[in-house]
Amino acid sequence: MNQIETRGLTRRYGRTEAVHALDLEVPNGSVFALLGPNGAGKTTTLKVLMNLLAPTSGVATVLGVDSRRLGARARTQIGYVSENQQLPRWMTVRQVLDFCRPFYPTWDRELEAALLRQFDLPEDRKLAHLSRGMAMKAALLASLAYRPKLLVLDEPFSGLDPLVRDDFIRGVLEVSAQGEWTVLLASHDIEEVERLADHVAMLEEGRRTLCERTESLQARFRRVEVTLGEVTPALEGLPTTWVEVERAGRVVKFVETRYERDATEGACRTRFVDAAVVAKPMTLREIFLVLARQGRTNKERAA
Amino acid sequence: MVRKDLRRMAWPVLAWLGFLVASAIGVVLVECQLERVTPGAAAEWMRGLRSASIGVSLIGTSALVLLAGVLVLEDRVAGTQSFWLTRPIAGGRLLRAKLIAAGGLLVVAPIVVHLPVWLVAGFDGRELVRVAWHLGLVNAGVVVVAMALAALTENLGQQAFAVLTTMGLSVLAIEVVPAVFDRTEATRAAIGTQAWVILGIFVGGAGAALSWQYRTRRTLAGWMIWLAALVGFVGVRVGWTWECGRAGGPPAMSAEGGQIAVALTADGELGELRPGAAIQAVVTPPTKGPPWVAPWQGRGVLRDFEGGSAEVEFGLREGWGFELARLLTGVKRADSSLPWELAVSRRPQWERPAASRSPVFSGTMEFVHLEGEVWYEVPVQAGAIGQRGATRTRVMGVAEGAKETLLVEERRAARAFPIVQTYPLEVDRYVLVQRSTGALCRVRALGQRGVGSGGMLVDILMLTAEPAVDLRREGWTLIKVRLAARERWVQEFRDLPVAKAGSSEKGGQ
Repeated sequence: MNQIETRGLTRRYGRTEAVHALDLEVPNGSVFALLGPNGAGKTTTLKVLMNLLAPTSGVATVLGVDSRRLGARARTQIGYVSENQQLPRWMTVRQVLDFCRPFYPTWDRELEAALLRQFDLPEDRKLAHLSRGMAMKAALLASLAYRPKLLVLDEPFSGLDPLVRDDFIRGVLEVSAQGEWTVLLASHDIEEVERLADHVAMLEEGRRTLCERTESLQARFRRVEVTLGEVTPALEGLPTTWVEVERAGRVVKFVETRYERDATEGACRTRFVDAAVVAKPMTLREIFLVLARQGRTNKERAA
Repeated sequence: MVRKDLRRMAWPVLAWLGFLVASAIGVVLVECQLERVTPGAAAEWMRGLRSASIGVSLIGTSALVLLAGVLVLEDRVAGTQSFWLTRPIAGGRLLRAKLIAAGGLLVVAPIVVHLPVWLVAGFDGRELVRVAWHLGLVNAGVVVVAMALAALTENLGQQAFAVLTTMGLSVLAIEVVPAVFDRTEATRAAIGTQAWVILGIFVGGAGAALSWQYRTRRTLAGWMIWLAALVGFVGVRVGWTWECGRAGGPPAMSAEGGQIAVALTADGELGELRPGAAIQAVVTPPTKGPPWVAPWQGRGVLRDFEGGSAEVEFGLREGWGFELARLLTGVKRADSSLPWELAVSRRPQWERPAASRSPVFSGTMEFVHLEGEVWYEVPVQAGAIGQRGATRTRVMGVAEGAKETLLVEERRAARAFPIVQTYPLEVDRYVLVQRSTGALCRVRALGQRGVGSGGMLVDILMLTAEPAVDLRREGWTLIKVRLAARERWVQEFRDLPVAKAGSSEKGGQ
């Protein structure tokens, strides 16, 4: 079952199309990351899903409810943390928690206390006097303590130092491990996403360019280095799944986007006789960069 | 949610209430100062006082608008970044909480902090209810409009811009638009009713926009609602030309009824009556005692005996104003003729020029029924003090000049705070009457309110007497009347002679 589904979701700001015909399925229990450069439409997508913005066309359902009808009852099961959210900065951490608690029938005071300890948050300090990272942790705490079915994080790591990021991620991971929680996050901090996400979707100029499990994505991308023998053939007629092909002396490097060990090595040896083939796994960040560059190149060609 | 807002707003509201109390104390200090002001310096002093009063009112009202804005923008409705938007809080529930907090902090609290002052000042139960109602109503109206504009904007800067724009448009609607559409005369006749209609549209439109915005968060549509209210406001100002209850027109009364006698006299040459020329109507009411009768407007034909004629309309003479004109017939002299001045408002088109004629008027005149009471009588002598109940009036002096100027200080006399007075809700105006001869002197209040706060004010009158009379003679009495003009009717006249001023034409029926 999917906790979030979108069909042809489109959102325009005047003539600018921020999200275009987006189809998305976020499975129950998954940690789903929306990746993309600035202006790709990640935040707009989340805002439409949260009924902060109305879709121009298309449909989105969240926890089985049409996003346009997402009301108070559904929100008791959704946690939302955003870098841009206007927090009640004049309140202390304790006051924020006391204010939020009555709205959630499932609020878990033990979890609240545990997260307070884990995040090392000073209860009596006003949010205005907290660092940005601490304030984000307070916001996360106020979104985790009622054990939401769906946690939505919009650029949660932006501007946080590594230590706070680690705290933040551990917090999310720990609670998501405790039950059937679904996490949807939008970010361009790919290293952090790699630690968290089991599904990724990539957006570019409002369009989805990729959507699959992180595991399979990383399995099918390899950076391949071919060390040529005596013969140095021309780099022509190469498979379309090889991208960013470059030659440096006797070494040909490329990224295989449909990697299968036997098939890829076979294809290399067919073209490069006596060549030594080494395929290295890629990080999500490297894959993201390759795809982003590919997108830009395709756009330039089309132009 | 209400508790959160009360906690959030506590200090700013306390500061504002402190300002209100301080300004109330300021009123007391002003009153103490009054005792030392000499009649000669009073006019200058009063001008300064009025400026200060405007400043205090502006600060108090601006603070009220600001506080209402802060209350709403604490959990802003427009935009997508507010904390509450992603929490299980329904818009209607949040609006309820905001209204409760606003009602408590910005409407009830000012009344509560003023209550001890009013009690010490000797307000009776009726006055307490009246002043509390008035203060609460004014604050509630301002708060609803300010909250609506804050709900449609994302920060205090935008809210301030929206408030200033609204004020600018309101000034345009009130002052400029009617002039452009030449509605000045018509709207003056209906100004009282119009004000309530406009207020209803204004506050009602703000309430509708506020409710819409909280329930749907469709800001553009919310602005459209507000814009529709403003357009309605302008529309009323331009198109509304009648008073409530007058839609069917005043009832007609036959001339044969013979209930009212009117004598018309004109200033200057009768053959050269031009727009603005005064025709004085002396009205003799049919019965003694109140209610009194006053002409309101008329239209018909002026004919001369050589066959020339001209359509003519009478209206209130420019500059006198409705209430002032009513005063002239509001004096308790029902057994004698009351002078009344109308003006020719449309140029007569004589068929043949004539240097001197005695035209007659045939047409209809509309009358109003007036009710009132004399509150107190004060001989107009410098230093004279009149007192009725707890209200005391002191004449500070009689100025020299062609148009005599009086400075009259009126105050509510109470032991602790002798200056306190509830806001006047009735039409209160003044006339002078010569006790010995019964002659009337029309007076015009140039300045009325000095400085006030929270239902209390030092009420100083600067009166100009017209026409010039020797007010230094003894026996002039200042009379304050309360008037209510609700009944109206039309009476038809045939061949009513218009006499030259100073001649002794008899009135007709």
